[in-house]
Amino acid sequence: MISDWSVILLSLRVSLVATALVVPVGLVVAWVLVRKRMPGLFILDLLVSLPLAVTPVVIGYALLSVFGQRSPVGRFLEDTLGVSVAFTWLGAVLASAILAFPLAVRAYMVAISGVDTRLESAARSLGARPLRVFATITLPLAYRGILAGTLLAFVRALSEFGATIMIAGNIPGQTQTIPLAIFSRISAGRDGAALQLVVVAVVLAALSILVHNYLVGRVRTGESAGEARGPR
Amino acid sequence: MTRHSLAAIAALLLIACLSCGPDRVAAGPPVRVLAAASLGDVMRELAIDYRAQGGAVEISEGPSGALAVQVRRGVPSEIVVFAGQRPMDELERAGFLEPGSRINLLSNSLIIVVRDTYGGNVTSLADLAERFEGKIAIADPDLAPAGEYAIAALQSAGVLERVQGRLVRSLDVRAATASVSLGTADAAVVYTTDAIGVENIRVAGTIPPETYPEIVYPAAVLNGARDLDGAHRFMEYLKSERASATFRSHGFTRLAAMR
Repeated sequence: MISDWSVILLSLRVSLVATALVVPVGLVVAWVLVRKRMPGLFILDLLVSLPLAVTPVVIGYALLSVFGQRSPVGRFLEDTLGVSVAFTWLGAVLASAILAFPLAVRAYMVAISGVDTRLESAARSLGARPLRVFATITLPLAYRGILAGTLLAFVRALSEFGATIMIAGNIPGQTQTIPLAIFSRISAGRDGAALQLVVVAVVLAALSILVHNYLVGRVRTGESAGEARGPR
Repeated sequence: MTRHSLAAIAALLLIACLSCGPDRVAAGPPVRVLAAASLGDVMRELAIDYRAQGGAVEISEGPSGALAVQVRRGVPSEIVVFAGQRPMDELERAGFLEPGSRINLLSNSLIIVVRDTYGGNVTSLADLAERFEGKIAIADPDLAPAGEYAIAALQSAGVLERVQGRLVRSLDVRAATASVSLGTADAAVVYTTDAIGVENIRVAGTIPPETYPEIVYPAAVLNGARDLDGAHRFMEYLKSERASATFRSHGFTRLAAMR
């Protein structure tokens, strides 16, 4: 029988991989939205927020349309690369990542826009390339906001249901994450068993917040040390 | 062994761990069954039994609407089982079913449940109208077929108008059962299968099946099946005496007749 543990471990794995996808892509998109001035940015901004504006079931439907066997994309991935997204844990990762993306990007945008552009241009004037400026100036100064956005993304990924059940199905041991298992148990009238997993979800959220707070605390001491050393 | 090769092995292991699906089955894809959520528990129990006999099957459950979309968008799967004829009719019309494979697998029935502390003697819908004053929960007929059946039964019993003011519409039939269990309603008209294993309620009476439309759970093989033989074998298993004992233990009646 599929135990609670396999459900929990799968959920953690899906959410961690989804978050690992969201962070780098989210940082690039947020940086472009905040620092670049070019036409079409509004469209990008809208696209980023779209997963929050429509119901997750629609996202799941769209994912099925793209990655199902009736779409050329789905067939190409399956036949040529041997990768199947529909009804695999990769589908669950993709669904979680897309639904978590807007939360991360919004937080990253606020964090990056809070970084003094004069510091960035000073670095550039000293010969640093854009990537180096981003890695050594922007990222460290926006660290706290980036952590907050990443926390939001991870917790949102943990709770993803509507898009996941469409693209990944609900197969115990393969794609059944915590929210899907809760749905199955309620559908079967096993409310007590469902409640157990609700408690697990709350505990995981609490642990995520504690990890986030710990990392924020670390950077605070790091910054004050930097201020003590650096000329003001 | 150098530190580099150790690191390389560790990285490979990590990639392998991340890229393989959990509990991956070794040979050939298993027969994949898309099942209505209300059948999830019993289908999983059957799958375990089928695997113990050497078969390969996996169950994915969800709301009927989601299952129909999954079939239409080409999720590789062999069998669908719905909790109503409508989604199956649509798939059949759109040409997704293996011709001749559709059967009416299971049936369900309607019962009256009350709080287990209720001491009165209510056994029929007429009793609910005449000798009962509490709230009666049903699934919302606009949202769930269980509600349509309950309304039809109340109508046949000639008591719909008298209980109208005391009817409480729940999101679905599970919620109707839960509202009695939790005490927000005093009685409910629900499926036989819903009362099994629910605390704080008891079955007060069964409703004559001729007073509402037949409740049917149809099953069919999909013509996009990767493994047609395997699909037909599992359908035979679903129709077997062995499987029907499990269905009965969950409150279902096996029909397994050709439509």
